[in-house]
Amino acid sequence: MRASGAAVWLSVLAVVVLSVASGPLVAGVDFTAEDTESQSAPERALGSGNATVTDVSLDLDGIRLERGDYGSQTYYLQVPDATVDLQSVTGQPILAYKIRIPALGIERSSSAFLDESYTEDGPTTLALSLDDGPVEPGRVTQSSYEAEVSVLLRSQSGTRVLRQVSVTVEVRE
Amino acid sequence: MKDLKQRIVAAVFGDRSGLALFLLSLAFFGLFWRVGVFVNDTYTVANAFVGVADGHLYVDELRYGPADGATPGMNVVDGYLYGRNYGQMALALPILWLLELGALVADPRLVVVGLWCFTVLGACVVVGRVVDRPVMGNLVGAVAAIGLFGVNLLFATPLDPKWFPLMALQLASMVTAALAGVAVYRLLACVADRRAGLVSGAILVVATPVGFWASLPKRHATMALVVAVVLYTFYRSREVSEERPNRALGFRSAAYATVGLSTWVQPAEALTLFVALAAVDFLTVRRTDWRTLGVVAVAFALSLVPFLVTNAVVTGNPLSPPRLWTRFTGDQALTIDPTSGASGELTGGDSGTGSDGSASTAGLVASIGAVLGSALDRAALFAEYVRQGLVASFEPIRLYRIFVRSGYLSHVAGDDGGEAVNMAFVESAPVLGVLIGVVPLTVRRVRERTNREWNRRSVHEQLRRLRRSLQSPRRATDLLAVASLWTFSLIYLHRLPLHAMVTVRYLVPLLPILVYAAVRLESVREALSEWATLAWSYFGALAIGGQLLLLVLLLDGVQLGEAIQLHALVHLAAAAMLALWVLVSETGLGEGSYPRLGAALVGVACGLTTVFLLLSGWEYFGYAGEFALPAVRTFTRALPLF
Repeated sequence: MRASGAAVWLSVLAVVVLSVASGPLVAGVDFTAEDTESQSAPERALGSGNATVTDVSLDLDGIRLERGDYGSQTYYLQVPDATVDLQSVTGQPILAYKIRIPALGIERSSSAFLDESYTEDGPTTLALSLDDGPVEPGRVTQSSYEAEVSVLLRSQSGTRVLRQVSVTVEVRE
Repeated sequence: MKDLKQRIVAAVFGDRSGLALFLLSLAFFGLFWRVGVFVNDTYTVANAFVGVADGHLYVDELRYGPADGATPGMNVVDGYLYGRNYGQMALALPILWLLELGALVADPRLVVVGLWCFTVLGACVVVGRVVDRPVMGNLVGAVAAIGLFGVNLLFATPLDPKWFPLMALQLASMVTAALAGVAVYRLLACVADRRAGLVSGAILVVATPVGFWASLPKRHATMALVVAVVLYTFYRSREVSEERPNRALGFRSAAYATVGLSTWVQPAEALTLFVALAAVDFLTVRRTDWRTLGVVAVAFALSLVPFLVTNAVVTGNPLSPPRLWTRFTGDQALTIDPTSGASGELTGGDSGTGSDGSASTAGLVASIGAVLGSALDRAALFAEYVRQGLVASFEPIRLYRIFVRSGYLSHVAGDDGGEAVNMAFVESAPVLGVLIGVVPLTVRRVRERTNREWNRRSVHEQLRRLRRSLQSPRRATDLLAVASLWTFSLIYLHRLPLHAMVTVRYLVPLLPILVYAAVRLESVREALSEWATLAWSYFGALAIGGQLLLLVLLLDGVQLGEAIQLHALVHLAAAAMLALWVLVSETGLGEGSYPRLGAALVGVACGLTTVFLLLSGWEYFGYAGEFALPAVRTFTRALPLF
């Protein structure tokens, strides 16, 4: 009983000592490191520099408007990732992935902010993804819709269309 | 010293079991505590609390949320911004001081982690004493505390002290939610037995939306505590009324004072509870002398003082809370510019229309007139809410959507990002399925009664019998439960279903009442005494059911709306099973009441709800802020959902 009581107080002491050591009273000790993942990139001119892209592949058959299961009713516009072969990057260009369905008034896009670190180890492939956003069920009346999918590069020389395709998007119940 | 400790434990938690329940609840809430804002009117309360911590009621620093400060609930009174729910801030103030004190000597993140580890340690030590294995409890607690602290230390990131006021509000909300569980335990320990009470308290915390809203500092957890305490104190006042009249008077005053204090959090909800309490108290009391009435009235009047003084200071009229003044749109001219943070010299609390020192008789009459006028206004507003609520309570489709199945509602989803992310009441607390099973039984019983021959004498006889049965503490408390349920829900029914409710959060304070009602059923009480079955099925559903659900979510690649509705359907299925079981065991259709089957069903329903609480905190609504515990943050990032 007494030994276990001592164990309790020891554990309390350990927690307190470690917390205080990492605190403002003790210089030079810090157990709370900055979170590297959530740190934002240093502010530099975005859309500057350039990138060499050799291939853009899109999975056009995978694009669809699918109704949510379990009685959630809403349609979700599902767009598979686009893969981009990157040869080299200079500065901070931006790759944009876009889909437009004019008949539904939908325009969705995502951006990848590139920098030199991407091609440090030679050419690489990069996946661009779009969130599957909900579409109000009342608006979806046809069985398919015309859509336009594009991948763009914003660099110092302006915006360039790398690939642009028209596709028929099926509605699935 | 030891005696004092025991007396505090006895007064607040009832006994060691209550303390263990309290600590375990807090440790559970900590698992999905996110430091941040989930519903945007929390910005208002948090910004107002920054001011309160500074010693004034107005908002002079918009620390959280949009820069213009035009968040719901922010109101302008004479050029000053005011928040609402000041009572919640009063609860959070001592916690804020503790946090700030801790940060003076220790790392803020580790203060939070350390407090959580101490909660786990305390829970283990107390549980060890409850089950008469103190050495085991001590050792497990010590190892757990060190281990959990070490794991969190590995992933610890700095914590910005600017979050302290918000965190204090969250902690206060968690403490009230945990105390609501304790109050339900103490109530049902008296009404039923200690074991059933303990299970009911735990159910309220881990298997109803009280757990969902515990770390989200809205008013709901606080009001749930109020409701639970009112039921408990009312029951005790009746239980001890014969042999210890003074103690009974104390409990009765406490019931009224709790309702009175809750006006400081949400006056309309408090008023509904007061109407129910006063009516039931009057109907069921044996005798009341003037002294008793006087004491109760004084206690109630005193409990209203914080609310009235806050209003008087802000608006100059004790019956005119700032929440009913003009809503701040970001465009109104203000006396001080809150975004700047620092403000010039101010002329203190005379911002209202209050009289100056040399109030003339005319001025006094005018201000009394203003107070009476606003009292009438409040009464009219309340009556309007009640009227609309009465209309709404006869709309079956609306009730079905609120209580049974939500699904996709276009007018609601539009404000929820286009998805069906709201659950109905039973969907969010499937253990209440047992009450659905009672509905047909009640209907049958009422039919039987009304089909009988009626004449004046039999009516008279019935009424007399009813009055006599209401003298029993249990029956009186049942009546209070029904009355509060009714008055409280009336003011909200016409506004539901609504967006951003997730678990019909407006009705969360009703959960203690409904858990009480469920445990009042004999078959449920019998089932709750099957501890082993209950525990096995609960942890089985939590572990196996949780992983199966996760697997379905992952393999199916579900979206947020789909995930919520999947949980809703699974919960509905569990609730339906419970309803059937109650129906069979209460009517005696089968042989006996199958208590073990009931225990298994209750355990599964509760386990699945805990899975939902954890997944919603970690994944579905993880965006509500950064996790307070660093290890949890790392864990949720590893979970590849959404």
